[in-house]
Amino acid sequence: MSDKFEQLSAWVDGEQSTTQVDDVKTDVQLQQKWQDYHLVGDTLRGDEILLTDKSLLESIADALDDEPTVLAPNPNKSKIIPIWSNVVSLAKQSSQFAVAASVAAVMILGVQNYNTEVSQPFTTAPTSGPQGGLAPVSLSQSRTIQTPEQQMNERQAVLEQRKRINALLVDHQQQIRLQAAIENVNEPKIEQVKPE
Amino acid sequence: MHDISSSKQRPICSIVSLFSFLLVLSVSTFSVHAIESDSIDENIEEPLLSTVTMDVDDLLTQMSMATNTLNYQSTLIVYRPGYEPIPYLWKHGIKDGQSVELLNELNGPNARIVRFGNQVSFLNPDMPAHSLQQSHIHGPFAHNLIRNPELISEAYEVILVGKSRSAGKEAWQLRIVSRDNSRYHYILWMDAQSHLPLKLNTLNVKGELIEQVQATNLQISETLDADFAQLEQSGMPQIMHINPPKAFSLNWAINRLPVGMKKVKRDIHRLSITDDVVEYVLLSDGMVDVSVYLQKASFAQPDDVLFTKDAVTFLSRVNDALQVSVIGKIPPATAQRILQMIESVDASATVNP
Repeated sequence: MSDKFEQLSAWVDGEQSTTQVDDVKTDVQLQQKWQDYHLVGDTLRGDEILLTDKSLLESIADALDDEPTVLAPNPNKSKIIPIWSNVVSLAKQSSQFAVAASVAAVMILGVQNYNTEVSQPFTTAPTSGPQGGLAPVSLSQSRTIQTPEQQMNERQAVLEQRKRINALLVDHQQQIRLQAAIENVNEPKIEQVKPE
Repeated sequence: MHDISSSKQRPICSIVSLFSFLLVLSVSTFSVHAIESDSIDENIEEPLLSTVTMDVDDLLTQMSMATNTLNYQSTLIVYRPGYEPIPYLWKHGIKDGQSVELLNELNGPNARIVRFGNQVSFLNPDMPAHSLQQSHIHGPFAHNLIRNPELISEAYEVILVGKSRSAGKEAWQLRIVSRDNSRYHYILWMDAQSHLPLKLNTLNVKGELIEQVQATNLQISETLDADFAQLEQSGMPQIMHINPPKAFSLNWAINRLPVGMKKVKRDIHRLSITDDVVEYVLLSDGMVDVSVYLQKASFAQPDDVLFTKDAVTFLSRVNDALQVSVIGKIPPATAQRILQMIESVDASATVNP
């Protein structure tokens, strides 16, 4: 049984396999697996996934529901090697303390940073970098503490500027595309413009 | 004791070895001289021959002939640093005596541009299919460079660098240099056998790559491609005619332009996205097109907006409630110079087109 799935998996991956198209056509179980394997493959490759079948999601949800909630740790483990388990847990605890302490330190630093930041006048002009086009508006541009209204206005201003810049860029592309058409169709027209 | 005796012998050894080394050196340099003097006589004629047979204008003419008449297909990658490369399929053929061309973006929605003679059809899933009367497709390679090289000669000088290799083929390498150093520079690789373009680098003033078009393969065939055999001109959408601009006058002008740059078009139109009315001038030097916009500004903009995206420079300035914008594949400094050259003129003095 497991060999059958093994072969199917190899077949889906494009490797050597004894599975044939006809095998899958006749076997409902294989069909189900075939779909699952492809879904897994797509997920691993980072492709866009289109879930046409809800059964997988439902089965995952069902499985989660059926899963018993573990409230107490398994006591068997600590019984096997009692000394080592204690040592490990101590080490674990200390490392957790260290992590917690550093997190707290970062938080304090962060809060200090945040509060001491000098409020710069907002510049509407992005003077460098590829900022035009359809890039999403970054919230980091208005990090100084402001009233929500001010923030709204600034965000609005940035959005509008983006829109204006984008409109011009799009029009530029259109004009370049149309240029040759006018060259051909209105040849005398262009001659009149040129001498000016 | 042993040590002392050996140390006494050392200087003698070293002197002997030094002599022998000098001897070898002198002999070897002498022989090199002899070889050089021999080879000079042979080499003198070779470079002369190649410069006589390979003229830049000849190469460019052959390239325009080849791109306009051969049956070929090529896969092109357009790369701009910082962005994803865009692959294209580019095909050309001669069908029923007229030139047919296809440009297909290989990623994303299946956008295709098909040209039958002077009819260019845009088949793009994102917008309704339409056709325009145009002599060429705006493809990855600068169309005037590969089709009408004489149109760029006023603004650019083309220099033959030599032979190299590109896309697995022996290629001529040409430099296209702006005559007044105010435009980007280009390096073109041309298949030495078929004279079709293989690669085009766009470099900024510092010599950094800002755009690259690279063919990954090039196939030339005797017969028409099967895609073209299927396509029929009658199946393409009707040609859309653009209304000629109505009479108008602009009360501004650009009084000095970079070498070789000309005004190609002037009009007043609306931007499709914001519906703003703009006064518009299109400049071109054959390689690049530059748009200049003038529009009313209802907003304040204390500083200039200047950035480069997809190798296109965008510069805009707001002054006295007027926004002026310059857009094109030109260095920012040149965009700034064009913007500064805009002057208001007496509206009544301008001629209506």
